[in-house]
Amino acid sequence: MIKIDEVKTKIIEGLNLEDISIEELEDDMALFGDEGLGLDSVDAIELTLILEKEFGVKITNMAEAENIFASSLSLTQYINDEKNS
Amino acid sequence: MILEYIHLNASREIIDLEKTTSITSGWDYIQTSNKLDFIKSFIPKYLSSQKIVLFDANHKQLLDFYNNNNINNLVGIDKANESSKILFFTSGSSGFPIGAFKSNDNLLLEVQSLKKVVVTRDIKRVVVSVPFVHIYGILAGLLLPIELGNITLVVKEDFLPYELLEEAQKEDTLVITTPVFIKALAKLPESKDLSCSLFVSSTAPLSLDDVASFEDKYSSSVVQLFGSTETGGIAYKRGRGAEWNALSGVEIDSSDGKLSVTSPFISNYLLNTEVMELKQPYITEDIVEIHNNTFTLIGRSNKLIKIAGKRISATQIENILEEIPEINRAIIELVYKKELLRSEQIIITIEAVNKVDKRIIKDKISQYYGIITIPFNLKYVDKINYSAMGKKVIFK
Repeated sequence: MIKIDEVKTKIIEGLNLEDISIEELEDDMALFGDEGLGLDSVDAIELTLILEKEFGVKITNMAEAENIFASSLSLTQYINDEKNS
Repeated sequence: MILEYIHLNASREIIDLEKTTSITSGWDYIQTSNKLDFIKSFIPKYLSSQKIVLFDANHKQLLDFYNNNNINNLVGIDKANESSKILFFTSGSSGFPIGAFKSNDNLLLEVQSLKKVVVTRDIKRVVVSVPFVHIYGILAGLLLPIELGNITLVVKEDFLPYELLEEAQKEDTLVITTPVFIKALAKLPESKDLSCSLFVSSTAPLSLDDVASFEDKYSSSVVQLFGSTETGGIAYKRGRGAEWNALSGVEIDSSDGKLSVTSPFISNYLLNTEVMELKQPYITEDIVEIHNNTFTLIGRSNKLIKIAGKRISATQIENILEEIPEINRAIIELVYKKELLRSEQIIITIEAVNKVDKRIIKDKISQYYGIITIPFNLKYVDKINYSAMGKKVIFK
C-alpha cells in the first residue's frame, strides 16, 4: 500500500516545487485551480508521467485525470485502487 | 474548414466553419480563452476579412487598455488600418504590452513559407495542442490549415500525452505542438510508428537529446520554428540539425552579435501608446553566430527570459513584485531544469517584511502576463542591496 506522504514527495520532487513542504501540502488541498496548489495543464502532463514511472499507473485521458488529480488524497486512493485491482 | 472538437468527456463535435456576414467596419476584439469559442469566432471573421484584435482578458494592463481606449480612435491608426488584418499583443520588455499589427501580406507570405518547410507529405488532419495566445498558435494552428484547404482541424482544450499520441497515429496528420509534448511523448514507456505523421514545435528550442529520443521512439521527425510576435517566423530547424535555417524570404545578419532580420513577415506597425512605424532590419535580443543563411543561437541579451514562448523581462517582473506591500526587493533568476517538461523556470528571491502567500505573487504576475503561466520557486533572504554598479546583490 502506497502512503500519502510518498505520493506527496513524488509530486513535490517531480514538479520541482522546492518551496512547498509535505506538511504544507495538505491531504485534501486542491492540486489544480486558483485555490490550493495552483497546478496547471503542463503540470497535469508531468504528473501523468510521474505516476506511470514511479507507481506504474497509466492515465490516458483528461476527464479521468480531473477526478484523480483533485488532491493528494484522491491521487493516493487511485494508485492503491489500481494496484489492488 | 471542418473543426473536430474533442470535449473533456471525449465526445467529438463536428463544426463546419464558414465565412460570416456579421462583420464590423473597424477592429473587433476576440478574447483568447476557451479554444472552441475562440475558433468559432476567429475563423469566420478571418475568412470574412474582419480586422481582429487578439485579446487576453486575464491581462490586467490589456483589460485596462481595452476598457479605456477604442482602438479605432488611436493616434496613427489610419496608417495601420490601410493594410493590417490582425493585432497581436506581446509582453514587451519595457513594461507595457506591445501590439504588433500584421498585414494580409505578412500573414499569407509567412503561411506559404511555413507550408514549404513543414508540409512535406499529404496532410488531411491538423491536430493542434497549442493555445491561441501567441502568433505561433494562430499561424501554424489555424492559418496554415486554412491555407492547406480540405483539412480537418482537431482541437481539444488540454491533451494528455496518450490522447495526443492517439490522434497522431491517424494517417496523414500534422501535429502543431510545443516542446512540452515532444518531451512528454519521448518519455512514454510505449512506442508507436508515427512515420505517417509530421510534428511542428515552437515557443522554445528543444535539446538535441530530446529530438533524438522522440525521433528514435516514433520514427518521425520534428520541425522546430523560431521567431517572435513582431518578426513573425525567422527560421526553422529540421530534426537533429544543429543550426537554424532562415525561412524562405527572410534575410538574416548579425548586428553587434545580435540577430538582425529583414523579412516580409515583420510587422509594419507597432502599437505602444500610439501607432508607430517599424523600420527594417529588426534587431532582436538573441545573440547568434551567423553562417551564410543559417545561425547558431548563443543566448539572449539583457535580462530577457523566455517562458511559454513569451519573451519576458526579468527586471519587469522584479518591479511588479516590488509593488506588493510586503516585498521590499526581489531578484529574478532563470534556471534550466532539463529533466522537467517545462525546462525554463524562475527562482524569485525576495527580501520581505513577512512571508508572502505564493498565490498573491501568482495573482500579481498574472495581472501583467495574463494566462501565460510562469513557473517559479520562492526563496527568502535577509537583505538585497545594490552594488556600486547598480546591480542587486543578495545578502544571506
